[in-house]
Formats: sequence, structure tokens, C-alpha cells
Amino acid sequence: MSPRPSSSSRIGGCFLLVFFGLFMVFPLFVAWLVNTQGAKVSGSITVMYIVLGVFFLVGLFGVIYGIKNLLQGPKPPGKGGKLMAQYSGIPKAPEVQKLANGYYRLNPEASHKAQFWTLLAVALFWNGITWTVFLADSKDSDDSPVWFIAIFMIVGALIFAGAIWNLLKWLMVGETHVDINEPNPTPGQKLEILVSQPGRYSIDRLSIHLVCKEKATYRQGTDTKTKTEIVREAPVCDLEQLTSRDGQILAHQACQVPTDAMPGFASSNNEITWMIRVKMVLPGRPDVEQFYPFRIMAPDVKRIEVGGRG
Amino acid sequence: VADLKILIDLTPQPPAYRPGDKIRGVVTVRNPEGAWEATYLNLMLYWQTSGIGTRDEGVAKTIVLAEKGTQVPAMFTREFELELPLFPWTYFGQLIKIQWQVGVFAKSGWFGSTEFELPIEIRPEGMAGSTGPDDTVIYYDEFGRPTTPPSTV
Repeated sequence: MSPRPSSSSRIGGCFLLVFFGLFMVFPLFVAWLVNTQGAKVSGSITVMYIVLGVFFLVGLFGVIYGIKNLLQGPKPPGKGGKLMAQYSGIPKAPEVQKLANGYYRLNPEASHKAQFWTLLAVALFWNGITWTVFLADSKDSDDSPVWFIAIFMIVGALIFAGAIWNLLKWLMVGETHVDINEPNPTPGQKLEILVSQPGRYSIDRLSIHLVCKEKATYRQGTDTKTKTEIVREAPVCDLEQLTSRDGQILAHQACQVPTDAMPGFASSNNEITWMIRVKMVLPGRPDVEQFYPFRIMAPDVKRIEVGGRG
Repeated sequence: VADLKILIDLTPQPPAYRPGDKIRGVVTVRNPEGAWEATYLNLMLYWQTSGIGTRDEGVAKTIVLAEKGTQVPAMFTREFELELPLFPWTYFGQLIKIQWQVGVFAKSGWFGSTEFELPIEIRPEGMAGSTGPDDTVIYYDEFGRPTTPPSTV
């Protein structure tokens, strides 16, 4: 077998060459236009040549770097051929609160309270800018494109509505509590789930699921984007016509973690997280859907890390 | 050393192994042009992610086959042993894939490096390692058995 060529690094190298090559060609082209074609320059010609010179130098260094990369070929894992530190991919233990009854209380992925404050901050920032622009623009000219600013104002209104919706959930429903008997179960292990709800409500429907979410972060241009997807789903229960009484247990369910579940995984840009999803339909109040992350561990890793407790 | 021929033989045969397995292997590096001076010649056991996310990687074990500046004979052979790590398992998800490799990386002088990667799978028995066809969510019943999608609330 012959060594596998690293085509992606070669494509990247060629791209670098072309990109920085254009940096080099651009100032030469402008200089040619000015000197031979008589193109007019607004401002100082000295400043123009300095700027062109900077462009040329950046391009030159880029081209040299690109050629060096192409000639060097593929690198081993780790930057510049240096050996990387050991990295296990095991996610951090979730923050849980141990209760007197021996169960562990999970924190929601994003509480209604946190979502409200976050959306409110974004709404204030967004609407502050758009309204300022709108008011300044409407004073300055009569023929301004109002519809253009209106798009931004509608987006601002939607963000504000989202904040209000979460405020309603926070005030009218409160935070649902989810407790489990084992914060680090292994595939195939039995898991007990307790769900309770502060306040006195009648609940039309309550469903509990185990879900596995994959989260991938990537660069697109100058933006960093994150894509999240639920890739596995295991229903635990689907209950109807319940009544919550000041934090009493609404549901006490047992389930088995899927035997072929991939344990939780975390690296810089990729994550696999298991969560308990609780959905509630309450008459006359906003529906609730909350995710409570916990950690499924590989059996051997758990034996070493937590000594097989639980 | 652009013409290096690299070969890795593993026992037991790849690709499927269990976490914690001990495997043995022989790496052979042949240079038709004769002996060469190594900038590095390393064997690595490492995982890499692939998919939509930016690639992450982690090295479980590195064996330095030849120190920097060492003269490597035209036909170089070395036996090695590896204890496979317990985690992460090989995984083929919808957004994320995790794959293990045994790789040999060689370089001489400033330019001209060569790599050879042998993909292996590390996962326990009964772990399919895949979520099924793309864009499919697998649903389970309360006993962990695959089932039909539940009705939504």
C-alpha cells in the first residue's frame, strides 16, 4: 500500500496561492493603469503607492507561505507537526444538585428566566439601534426607504415578543424540576426519572423522552455557526390529566438507557449530549418544552472515573 | 522522501476492535532511494471528527520510530504494541463522525512529508456505531428497543 495523499491540504494550498497571488497582481494592475493608461488618482499618489506596496508585500508573503505548504505536504495531527496532548473526548460531568432523597436534580439547558433575560437584552440592543436609525432618518429626509428599516423593526418586535413569551412561561408556569437516580448512567442501565412542578396547575399532558443531540460548530466565511440536531429519541412516558400540587412528584418513571447509545462526547467543535426532554400542555398557559442534559458514560470509563458509583 | 512506501500490519486483523483491546503490529517503511535522515518518523493512534463541524482530533498514543536526525535505513521495520483507549468510540452520526486511525508520519528535511493512515474501529460489542440512514431519528421504547415514532404532544 502506498501513502495516502492528502488532497484537502493540496486544495487548501492552491487556494492560498491564488488568493495571495491576486493580492500581488492587484497593485501591479493599478500601477499599470495609472502609468500607462493615464488613470486619474484622487488624493496623494505617494499614499496610493504605499497602499499598493502593502498589498504587494502581503501577497508576496502569502504566496511564499502557500508554496512552502504545498511542498511540505501533509502534516501529522497537531499543529506544525508537533505532537498533541492526550484528549479523551469525555464531557465534563453535568452540574447537578444532590437531594436528600438520594436523587440528583438536573439543570435545564436554558431556563425560562435565562431565556427571558437573554432575549430582552438582544431586543433592547436591536430595537435601540433600529429605532434610533428610524427616528433620525424620518427627520432628515422625506424619501427614505421606510420599508427597508421596517424589516429590521419587525425582526426587533419578534425578538421582543419572544422575550415576553419566556417571561410569561417563567411567571405563569415556573421551572419544572427533573431529578434522576444516577447522573452518569451507562448504556443499558436503568434510569429513574422524577418530574415535579412548583405551583398548583392542572396539566393536560406530560411527556418525557430521552433524546440525543449532536452539536457541530463550524466556520462559514467570517461567521461561526452551530448546527444542532436530535438524532435519537426514546420515549419514557406520555401522561394525561395530571394535577401539580406545590412541587409534589408529577411523574416517577423508570426506563432503560438504550443499550447501543453512544456515550456523551465533547471536543472543541463537536458534542454529543443526552438529555431528558419534558413537554407539558397546560390549559390557559404557554406550553412548556425543556431539555435537561445528563451524561451517559462508557462503562469502563465510568469504572475508572467515578469508581462505578450509583 | 516523497516515494516512501509505508505499510502497517495489525494483529488481530483490522478494522473492528473493542475498547481496551491490546493489539500488536509491524510498521514497515521503505525508501527506494536508500537511507534517509528523519526530521520525524512517528506512529500515532488518534481519533478525528468529521462531518459538518470543524475537525477535532485527539492523540491516544505516539510512538517515536526514529528521533530527529536519525539515519533511517532504506528498509525500516519496527514492531509495536498498542492498548486501545476506552473512549471515544467509533461513531457515525448525522452531524458528527468519530473515526480512529493508526497513522505513520514521516518527514525528512524541510520539505516532503509522507503519511499513511490505517482506519480502525473501536466500539463495544452490540454498538452499531451508526444512527442509521442520514436524516433518520431512531426511536426506542422503554426497554431500549427500536420502535415507531411516538405521537407528539
